[in-house]
Amino acid sequence: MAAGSSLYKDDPTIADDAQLWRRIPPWHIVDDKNVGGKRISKAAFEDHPDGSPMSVVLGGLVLELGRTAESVVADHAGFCLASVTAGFARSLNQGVVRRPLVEEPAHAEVFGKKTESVRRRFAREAVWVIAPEQ
Amino acid sequence: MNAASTLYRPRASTMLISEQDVPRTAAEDSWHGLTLTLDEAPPLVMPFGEGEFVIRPRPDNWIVPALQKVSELGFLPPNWNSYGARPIRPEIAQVAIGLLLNVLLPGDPLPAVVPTARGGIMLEWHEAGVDLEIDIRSPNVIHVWLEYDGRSEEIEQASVQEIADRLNSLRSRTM
Repeated sequence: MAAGSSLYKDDPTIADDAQLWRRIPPWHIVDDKNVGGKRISKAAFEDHPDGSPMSVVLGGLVLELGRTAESVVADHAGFCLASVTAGFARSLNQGVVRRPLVEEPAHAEVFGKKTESVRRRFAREAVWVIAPEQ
Repeated sequence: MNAASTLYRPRASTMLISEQDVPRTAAEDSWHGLTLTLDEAPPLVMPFGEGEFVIRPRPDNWIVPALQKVSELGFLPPNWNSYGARPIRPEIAQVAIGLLLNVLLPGDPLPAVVPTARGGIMLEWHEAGVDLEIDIRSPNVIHVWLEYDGRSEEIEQASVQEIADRLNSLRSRTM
């Protein structure tokens, strides 16, 4: 699914500097002795197995709604939270669209083909919002 | 390389490593002063989901922690990543175990064992300036990514020999 797919249209109201937060399960945080710390596996950045685009939440909207980053991982023990910007996603030929859910009004989707390179770039460029314990 | 065989079967035990695999002491092998000689160590039995893997011959202890990590993935529930991830498939785990047993050598660094949302397994090494990722997507599709010294290489459907060769890049820098 390319960013220009007719099924999905990139939402220009989501600014390039908007933070896209994604939950990272503990199994996707691995040791990186090259940098002397932890890294996110590229396995953390995939579309849904059912083929729907990769889920994120709009970090700014979460805060506007009076919530905290911790609320996004509240029901997921051991999970961390990582962030990339919408502009970075777009630079990888991805698009971003709002998909509010009853249980998560800040839910959005990142659509576009998740090639090896794209997934690796997401994993490398993501910054921690809620970091793992070192 | 080891000529290991890995069998997946319905589980007979709920223990991580079954009682029959606990090494016996000399006293246990001795009865009324007679020492029993066992031809072969018992196989390693590791539960995985509804079944268990039986690995013969019993692997050396140095590689067991990596095998146990594979075993643990068998108990990830559906939606383990909170984004609809599937349980890890036993046939993928069997390939992962086979790779670990057949391409790693004593002294090699053990990989991170990482589940993927589609039910696969990745083996990852990030050390000695090398990033090596083996992505087992199906029993017949193993993707390899290797990066070091500013160069990268990608193999869409790697053979066991190609994987062993890429592991040499890491091995040569860690020994």
